[in-house]
Amino acid sequence: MGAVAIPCPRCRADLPLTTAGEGRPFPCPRCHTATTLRLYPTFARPDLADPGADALPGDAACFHHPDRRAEAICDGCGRFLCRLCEIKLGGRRLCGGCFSSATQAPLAVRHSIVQYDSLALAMVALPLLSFVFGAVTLFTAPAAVWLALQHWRRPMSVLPRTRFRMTLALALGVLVTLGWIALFGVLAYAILAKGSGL
Amino acid sequence: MSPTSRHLRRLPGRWYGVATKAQAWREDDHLLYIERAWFIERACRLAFRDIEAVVLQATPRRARGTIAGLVVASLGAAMVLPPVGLLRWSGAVVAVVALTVAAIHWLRGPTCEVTVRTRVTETAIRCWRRRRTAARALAMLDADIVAAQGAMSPAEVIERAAERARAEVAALEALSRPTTPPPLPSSPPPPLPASPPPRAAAMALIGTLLLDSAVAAGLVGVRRAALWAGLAVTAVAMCVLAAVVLVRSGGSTRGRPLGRWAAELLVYWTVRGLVLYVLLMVPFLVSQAALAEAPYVPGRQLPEIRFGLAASVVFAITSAGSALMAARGVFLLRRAGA
Repeated sequence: MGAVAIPCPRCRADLPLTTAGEGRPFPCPRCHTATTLRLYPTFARPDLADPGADALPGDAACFHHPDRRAEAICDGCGRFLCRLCEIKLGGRRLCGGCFSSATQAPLAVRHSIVQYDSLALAMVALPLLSFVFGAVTLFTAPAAVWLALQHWRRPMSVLPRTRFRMTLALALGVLVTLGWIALFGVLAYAILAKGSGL
Repeated sequence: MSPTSRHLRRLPGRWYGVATKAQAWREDDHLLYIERAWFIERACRLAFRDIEAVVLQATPRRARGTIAGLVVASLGAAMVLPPVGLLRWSGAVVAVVALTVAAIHWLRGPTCEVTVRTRVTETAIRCWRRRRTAARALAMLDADIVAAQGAMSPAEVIERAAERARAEVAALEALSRPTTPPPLPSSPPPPLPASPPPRAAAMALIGTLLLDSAVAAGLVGVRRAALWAGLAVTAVAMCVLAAVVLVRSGGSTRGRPLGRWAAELLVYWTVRGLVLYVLLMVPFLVSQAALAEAPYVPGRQLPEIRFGLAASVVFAITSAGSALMAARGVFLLRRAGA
């Protein structure tokens, strides 16, 4: 039953499927790890993917499968795609690479998101909390303000998430930046006052 | 998997690491697994209709973590015995904290690793690392998966999968085009011959471990230079033999219990060396410093360093640890032979 085997996640040895139906833990034949397996009907489902027609001489072939006839062109990079490689997304046709790198993809299909709100908050709050590196906020606080404003409308998580972190980062960043400006202003005033003998 | 379906329900289990976090949610038609590392969130969606199998494997983290906690607590308790105030208090704190952590770790139940398989992906769900949590979460998911795929007994699934495999092989054999590669064999290829476990090196390692245990047990009662030297010699020999076992196991600990055992031994000796140094050398140096500041009395011999009781406890733990490691080696060797 090589084609329908399930490999052990640890040692990649084929797990004995006959014991899976008993619902009891069984040892992996190679690494002896106690394993419990739950099988679902999809495991027995035949492959439904239609690879499309074979490419004949003179036909445009898929970029990834040279033996398959091209049936679409990627809207991102212009490569020829067969039916297997074509991904339909919001009225566009994309190849796998363009799909992975699509930053404007809908939230429901995005798989990696940079959380700029946490980043901005960490940039301004961590140096403040550490006290030792408080002077770093001279640079990080304006950067946090810029990050917060730049990415204000961007979703920060696939989960529901409020803008609390972003607001806090923006408020702290503005306050700290104003604090630095005030400090430099006072210093400049003091130096000028001392120079003019007032 | 509609983009607008946002009926999120959180599944039991969360995992926190260093600046990382993992959690699982279920939406109407898929399992949403999220891992956060620093400031990047990675989401993995597994549609209920695509899930083929869930593999749940037991891990020894519960026993290992508890033993490690108990060892640290014992060493902390041993630090209470030397007549040095700072060490005594810090030892007590270490012992209490380690004991509490070990107790909580034990009470949270057995550990496991859960892997969800689809036809094309295999996703380890790191937030289900306790069997109890995994069972609760999988019980919730089962209903959704059955609703998406229909109910079928595991035996029926296996039977149908075998039929599918036979049909696929037959279809491949029926293809007779000249450009078609030769059909796949109906039977699985023979497994690669597994490298024989390094029995001789492992047995020598077990023997050295037992010798080390005996020497450490001897040091519990008697402090002789020969025994100290013996402990150093056995430690070096064990490191060499463990390295040999690790190399002969293919240099990998994955799926190779003897290799993993050898790697654990190397870690054990490193920790043991550091602990012996901290617990014995530091009080020794502190006592020496105290002696150097004490007024010299003519004719008086330097008094023997009196941290014997603490050293006895440490050596007893060392002896027990080596014996336990040897017993584990015997067990693994017998299982590898079987």
